Amino acid sequence: MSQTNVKRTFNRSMSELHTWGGLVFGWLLFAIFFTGTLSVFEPEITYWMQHGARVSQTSPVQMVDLADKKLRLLAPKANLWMIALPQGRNQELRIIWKQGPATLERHLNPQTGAILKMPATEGGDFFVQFHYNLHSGKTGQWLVGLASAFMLAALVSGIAIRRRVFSDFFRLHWRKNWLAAHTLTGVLTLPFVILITYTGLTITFFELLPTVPQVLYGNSWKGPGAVVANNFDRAPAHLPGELVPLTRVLPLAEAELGKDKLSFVRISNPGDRQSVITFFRSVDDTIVATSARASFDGVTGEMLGSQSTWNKYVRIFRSLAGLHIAKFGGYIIPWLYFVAGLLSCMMIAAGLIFFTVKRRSRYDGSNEAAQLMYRVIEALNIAAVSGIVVACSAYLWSNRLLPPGFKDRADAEISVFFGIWLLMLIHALLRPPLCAWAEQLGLAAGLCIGLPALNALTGPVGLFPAIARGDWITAGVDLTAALLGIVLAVAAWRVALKHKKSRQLPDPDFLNT
Amino acid sequence: MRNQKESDYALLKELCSKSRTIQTVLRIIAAVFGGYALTVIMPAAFALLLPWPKVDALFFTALLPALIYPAVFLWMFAAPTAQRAWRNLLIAILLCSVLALIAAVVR
Repeated sequence: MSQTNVKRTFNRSMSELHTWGGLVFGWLLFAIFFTGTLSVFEPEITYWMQHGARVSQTSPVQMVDLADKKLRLLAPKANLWMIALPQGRNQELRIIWKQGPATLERHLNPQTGAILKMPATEGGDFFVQFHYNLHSGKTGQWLVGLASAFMLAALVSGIAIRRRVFSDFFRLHWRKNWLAAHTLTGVLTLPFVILITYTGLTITFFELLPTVPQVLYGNSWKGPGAVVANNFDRAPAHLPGELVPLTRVLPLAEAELGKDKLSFVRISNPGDRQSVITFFRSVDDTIVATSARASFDGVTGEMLGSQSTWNKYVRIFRSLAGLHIAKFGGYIIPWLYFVAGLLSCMMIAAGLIFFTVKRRSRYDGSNEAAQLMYRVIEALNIAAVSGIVVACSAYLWSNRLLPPGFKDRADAEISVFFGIWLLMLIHALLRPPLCAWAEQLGLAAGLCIGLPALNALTGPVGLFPAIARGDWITAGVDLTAALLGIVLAVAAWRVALKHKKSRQLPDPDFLNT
Repeated sequence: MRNQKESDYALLKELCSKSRTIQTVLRIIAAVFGGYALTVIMPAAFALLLPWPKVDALFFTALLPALIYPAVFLWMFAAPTAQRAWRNLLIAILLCSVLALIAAVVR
């Protein structure tokens, strides 16, 4: 084969990979990137959705004391207690205990220790779960893994087929069409997309590729935690022993791990002579997402040991995790991730739209099967892009509209998400494409802009009282939703305008500009 | 019997043909499934070959799969023909398996 021929084949297969792979995985990737972008603000969204809790936190000593007392009262026979302390962006005080196979969880008022009545909800954690397993367990995790691997390949193949993108970008040759929108946002978000996709794929290593630990450790493998962390846990002695008050151990733990830096406490076998209390440090001021920890004897309160240094490669691996979850850097890093995430979503969406725009004229004159396929691709584009935005906002709405005592409430919210998404797909199949775009974007805009009003009507703290009280988490979610709603409204309006124009013109070539 | 053989032959001929659709399907299968096989075997071979403490080897090889899998995607599509892509991939898988086996036996 001659040199030019080889080159032509190479370009053609790269473009095939990018175009068709991009189409099929693009639908999935948009959903993953959009819910992943929302996951950046998981604690805030959870806080917004758990509108039972609007109490400011107090000192760690007081909260540990309240949680300790409550656990002694509620779960004297449990074999594991856990306390999640409010720390940084995380506002809730939770107690969790394991009794046999059951795990129970309660939210406490950090001021009084009273159990807070909360409507059952998955909160922002649903977005986190969805973006890494599509809410469908192992199968979903595989699909997300495959899509992520494809995403990395698509970045390279995209650059391979259009090497001019960088010079176009930096010489400000910005055109106003869908291809340019795709390539410009692509160049802009390239570092972010590489970072987030590579780290996301890497941190699922132990779940998706269990072979390496298998060949190294064989059957003695008990998960990554067992080989990297010093283990101070002990088997229960089955002899009673009075658990030391946690507040007495707390100062020792704070001396070891840093004052006001504790985020989690675990007490194994409380009430046993061999019980162990372990304190975990928060990771919100470090990129290496591994908690330093200190363990204490549950009866005497003496320190059994602590760990704050890790193996070199463990540190690298966990810093990739830290770079993915973006818990460090206060609010600056999460906002940066949020904006970069939205831009990446736009990159994917523009690519999907460009696929259909480029082929519109080609399919006009072709046979019925090809036209049907084209129509289905267009509908899937709409459902994948604007449909999921509607579904996500509907999920937040359902949180406020379903009554607190609704049966299986948390699941019902998720059913609303999937139900609305399916409805959007049906809608996109039935309506002419431009109408469907405009209507769905309009609906999403309405739901987002309406969110502060809904919150004011149904929640304990509306937008303005929240601002007055300095509750910037509630206000922040409201305002961000409203801002996104305005952007969506502008998009809907522009599509509607194009639709109107296209009906007046004989040859519809809208969306092309 | 004869018919069976002929249809087998036809299938083989079709698989080896240069038709674009079949080429692409072969590339996709190689990328998704063959790619996964290499993504499993290569880090395993690395983990067994590296003369490091187990924890080091484990967490170092954890960094590789997210590079290998996308690279195989590109590799399968960059090859001039799907047949050559498959051949190269199978050689790579075989090589890694042999290395892993030798390392496992030596250990």
